[in-house]
Amino acid sequence: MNKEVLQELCRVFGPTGRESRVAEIVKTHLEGTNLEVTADVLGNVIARKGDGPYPVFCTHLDQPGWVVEHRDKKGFLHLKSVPADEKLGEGWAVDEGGNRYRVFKESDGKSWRAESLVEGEGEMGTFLVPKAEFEASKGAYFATALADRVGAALLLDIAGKANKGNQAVSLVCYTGRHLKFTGLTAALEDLDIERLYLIEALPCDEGNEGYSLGEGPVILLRTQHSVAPSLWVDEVAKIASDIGIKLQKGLVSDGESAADTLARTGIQAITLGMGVRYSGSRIERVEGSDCEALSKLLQGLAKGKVRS
Amino acid sequence: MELLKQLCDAPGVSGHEDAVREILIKAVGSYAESVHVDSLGNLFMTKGKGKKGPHLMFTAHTDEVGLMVERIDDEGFIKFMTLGGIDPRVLPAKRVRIGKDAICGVIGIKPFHLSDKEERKEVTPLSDLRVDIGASSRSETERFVDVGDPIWFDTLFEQQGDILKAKAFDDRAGCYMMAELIKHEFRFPATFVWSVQEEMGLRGGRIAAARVRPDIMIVLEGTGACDLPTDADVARRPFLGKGPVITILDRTVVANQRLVELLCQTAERDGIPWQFKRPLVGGTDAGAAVRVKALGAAVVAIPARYIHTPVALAHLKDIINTIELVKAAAERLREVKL
Repeated sequence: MNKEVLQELCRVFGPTGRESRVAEIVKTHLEGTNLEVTADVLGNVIARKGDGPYPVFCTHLDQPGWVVEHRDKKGFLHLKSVPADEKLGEGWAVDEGGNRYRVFKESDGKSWRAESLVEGEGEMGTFLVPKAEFEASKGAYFATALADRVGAALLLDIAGKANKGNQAVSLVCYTGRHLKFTGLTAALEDLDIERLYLIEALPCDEGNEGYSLGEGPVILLRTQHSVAPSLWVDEVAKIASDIGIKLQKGLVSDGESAADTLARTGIQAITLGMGVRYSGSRIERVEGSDCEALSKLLQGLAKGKVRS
Repeated sequence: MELLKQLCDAPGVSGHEDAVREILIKAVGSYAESVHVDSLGNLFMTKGKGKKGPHLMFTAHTDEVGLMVERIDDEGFIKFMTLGGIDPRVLPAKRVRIGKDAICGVIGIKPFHLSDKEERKEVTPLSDLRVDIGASSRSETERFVDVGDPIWFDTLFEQQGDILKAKAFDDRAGCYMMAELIKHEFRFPATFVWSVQEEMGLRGGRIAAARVRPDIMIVLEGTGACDLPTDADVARRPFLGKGPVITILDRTVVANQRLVELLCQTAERDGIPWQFKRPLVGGTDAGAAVRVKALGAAVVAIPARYIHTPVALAHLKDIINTIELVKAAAERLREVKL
């Protein structure tokens, strides 16, 4: 996986509902490939090569943030979280124009507030995200929005490799993951899908999730409302084994996932990813080795070696 | 205002929107090129077939929050469940109507002198509330009421100057505004959808969007005005009488940025007062539609105080301004690159 591309993606402003800059980066990198690229009105980016049915690799573009709801008499901005949780924490935030804000929690511990460093900035409807940071050290990446952007970096890896082969493949980057997966189903509606792989960074904070950081890619056997079909799991395990990749298995029973949302519309998907530490916080961590292994696995799946 | 009065007074809890639909067909069906009702009860009217796109879909929901008969006990009291978001605090001592014969009932509560201090401090839970129609036995109640019958608030429309008082401004105000909009000749093909079961999880809107597959969707709503008494240091927006309320985002969707800009700029250009929706909560049919098809969605609402209760207040000028704003903005859609 290209570190510079990952860094570019992690640094760009792209909260839920304002993902256009992230989409532009993805589209720019896809221009150099032989994939046909389209974008829809929701901001979803869809790339495809050849005729369907496609193996489809799907990830999201948006990151958590805040929206300014109101400025009070003292000049403090009242923020609505979309859906920044406790772990995102206090600190610097920026708007689309790069203006800086000091974000903090009100004394009730629930309400987000901010103070603008630029007089008059932060009108109602201004979107904010944590100020971006990116570090690479000892084979690991530490960055803001890392869990949200590593998927796109992996998809761009697949796009680069897809240039060489003649297999059909489709890559989808959708919007609105953090607002109940707003763009997901619409992004997939015109695709003839053979297999749908959802690429996610999977929280790996406690060490008891059944998978670990640095131990290789993860396949989710179940999510809250869906179960990965054993046929598909076996296919992925076989190709991982063929190319010498250790595959970890995970189960997630709480929280709505993309696979759950799709299952309700009758679309079966399988979730692949890698562990992410400090997930949902300002600076998350993933292991470079996990990214590399997952990238290889996705390329193997794109080639369709084991599909019948 | 006669049509708005008819719409607000009509019963139409989720799943039982027939009366509202009939009023609309009778009132404005003649303006449409086609009229269709789907099996769920969504009402579709089309105009401008053959015109060049984009295909525009206007939506308002016909249902209102209400109650449903769950069972009848041995003494003839009616246990009920809620349909849509209703705060149990607003239910005791309210008049209601039940079923196809609109039987009158009261949601009873123990009188002051029969309740002790502790009881009076607490909200009576929904499970303890009953509708009383004055019957003395199950069999007597069953002569008039059946399990599954809809129950709606017995509130009639009133007007005092510009202030309107009624139940169900959410979303009969939207229904009314669409009925006015269909009289207008738009430059684009347009489908007007009066949807059902919005209060039960945006059900009708999703089905309607899958059928129409529009490029742009404008949802017309009645949203909560927040200019209520409080000591908090928070501007209590949106205000009653201060113009159409434009949504940036809610719990289901981020409105299309270009459409939001178009609405705001059009309002400024035409001198129409407007305000942003706040707090950024709730959900509308737009949230369901974008999950069916990639489309540009916007939500414009009138502010109404005390929505989802037996009676709400709205302002006549907000309704007029919302109609004018949507009409003017729709005319400028070609200027927008979504």
